[in-house]
This record gives sequence, C-alpha cells and structure tokens, in this order.
Amino acid sequence: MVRIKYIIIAVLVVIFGIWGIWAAVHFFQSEEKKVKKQFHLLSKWTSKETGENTFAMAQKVKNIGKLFAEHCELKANVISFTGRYTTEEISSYAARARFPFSNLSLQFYDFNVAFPEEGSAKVTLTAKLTGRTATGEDVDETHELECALKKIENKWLFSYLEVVEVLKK
Amino acid sequence: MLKNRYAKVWKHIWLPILCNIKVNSLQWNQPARPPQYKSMVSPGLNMTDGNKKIRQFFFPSLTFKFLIRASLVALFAYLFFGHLCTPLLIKGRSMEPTYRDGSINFCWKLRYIFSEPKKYDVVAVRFAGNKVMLLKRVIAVAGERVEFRNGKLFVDGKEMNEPYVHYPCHWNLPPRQVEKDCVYVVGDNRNMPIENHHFGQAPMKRIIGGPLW
Repeated sequence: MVRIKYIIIAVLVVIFGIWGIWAAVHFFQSEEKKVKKQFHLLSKWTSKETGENTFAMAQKVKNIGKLFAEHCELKANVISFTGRYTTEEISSYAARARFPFSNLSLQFYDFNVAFPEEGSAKVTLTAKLTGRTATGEDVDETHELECALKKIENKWLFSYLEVVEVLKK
Repeated sequence: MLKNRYAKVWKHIWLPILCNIKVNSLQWNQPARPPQYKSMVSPGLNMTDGNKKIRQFFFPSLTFKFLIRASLVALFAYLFFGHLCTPLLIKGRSMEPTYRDGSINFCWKLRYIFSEPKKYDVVAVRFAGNKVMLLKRVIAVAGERVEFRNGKLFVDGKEMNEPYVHYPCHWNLPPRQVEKDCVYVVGDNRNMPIENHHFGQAPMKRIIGGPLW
C-alpha cells in the first residue's frame, strides 16, 4: 500500500515536472525565440501540400497577412515586387504566388538575430523555396533575406523584407 | 634528459589515451607484476577471450581514460567536420556533369586562407550562414570583362576554352567588368535559359572554400 502511494507521488512529480518545463518554455520564451517563431509560422503558412482545399488555402493566406505590420516595405528585385504594401495586399499577393504550385515548401536556415533597439529586431537568414508547379515544373530557389521586425502589441511583425542579391549578374 | 621524459609521457599517457594501445608499464617506475597477473593481461586466443575483446570493443567500460579519449575524438570530429571540412549534399543540376545532383562532397574551408580563388576553381559561395551554399566555377576575376556570345564565354574579348562544359548553351550576355574584391561565378551546366541560372559576381568575403574533390 505504501509502495503504491510512493509510485503515485513519483508519477505526479514527473507529470508536474514535465508540465512545468513545458510551461516555462511556452510562457517564458526569449525574444529571439519569439522572432524565430514568426518565421516558422511564415514557413508553415506559405507551404502548400498537394490537394490543399480552398478553405485551408484561404485560412493560410489570411494568416500570412497577420504576420506583417500594417505597412511593410518589401524589396525583391528578383520577382519585381518592391514597395510599401498593406497586409491585405501581401495576403492577396501570397494567394496569387501560391496558386500555380501543386506543392510548395519554404524553409529558413542560418538565423542571425540582432536587437538594435528595444522593440525592433533585425534578422538575416537564408530562405529556400522548393516546389512543383501544376504543369510539372520543379522550382528550387535559394535567397538571402534581410528582415526587420517590430514589436507591436506584444507581437513581432514584419516591417521590412529584402531579398539580398548574392550574385550580381 | 627532458626529451626522454617527454617521450615517456607521450608513450605512457597520451599514446594509450589516443590509440587505446596497451603499453608495458613495467618499464616506467612500476613494480613488476607477478607472472599469473601477466598472463591475465595478455590472454591467449581462446573463444571466451575473443568474445570478451569484441564485447569490450563495442561496449567499452567507462573508465576515465576512455572518457578522455571519447571526448577528444568528439571534439576533433566537431572541429574538423563542423568547421574545417563540412559535408555537402549537392542538390540541383547547375554544376553537372562535374558534380551530380544528390552526390556527396566536403567543403574544405581552409582552401582560400592564404590564397585567392583562381580562374576555373570550383568554389562554395555562402548565403546568410554555412548551412546552404552555392557551388559554382570561377570564370573571371576582378578587373576582367565577362561576356557570353551564343554560348561561348569571352573574357577580356578572348574566347575561352571550357572543357568542363558538356551540354549545349546558347546564352548571350553583354560585357560587364568584374568589380574589385569580387569573382564571377557560373555553373558548368548552362543548358537552360539564362534567366533560370543562378550566376554572377560574388564578393570575395562570401567565398568560404571549395569542394574537396
């Protein structure tokens, strides 16, 4: 009987321990992790699986817009997409850009996160876009990105995004 | 005298640690072992001892020496494969047939420590970090003028012989001068529209090494 009591206590301690670690990781994230999380969300919502339904697509596109500040500056000479855009414009551009693909994957590597001042973050990273168009053409693009994020209402939002020209033709 | 002492230290401490070599410690301030113990240390070649040795090889006992040896091996592997000679998985066809899609190589990062990339060298060009890089061939260095005329490469107005290009190419690119501290890099496979090929002028600071073979 005493033994069972100890086992129950041990199990409870383990459960509370795991829950405590999860809570600590979840609620006390460092600012760097919060910034990186925005990129993971961007990657998740930009990516597309074969046979994605219209509802999922609309939800993802809407969510992409939520990651950006109200007026975000984009500089992407490789796709002729340069200027200041609103979240709605970014969402509609994302919808148009995703449409021709049957599957799409956006992955980020080599994060270099810096906080030049409070409430703003500068991130340099490598973005790799792979996918296949509906016509069967493979796409494999890799670019270096320079991004700036601003902390607005306790959320890190993209305010500037530039595609760096590594090789100048 | 000092040299002899260092040799002893090396032979009796570092060599066994690094190479797992059993050294006859009788020669160095150790009392002589009784014959029965000696026979235990150097066992005969019966099956049980063989099994023991195999077991010891795959499941070594966690002695202090073993831990030091394992730590040194891990540290060396981390420094060598993580920073000096990083493994590469080649993805894409831009360097075919020299480097095939899906093949494995290593990026030797000390290649351009004391020298600069030369013409026709294959180099690794980094992006934001070291996880993703481009593998390209240097076709011109700073100050030279690069041009493509119907697939033929011209450097400073002179047609270049490119034995590594095996596929047909019909590129046309107006002449341009390579800036200071830059090199002009292109893939070996130019059998695609010029717009779809990732090539151009790369700053020297982005060149992090070259493939090992």
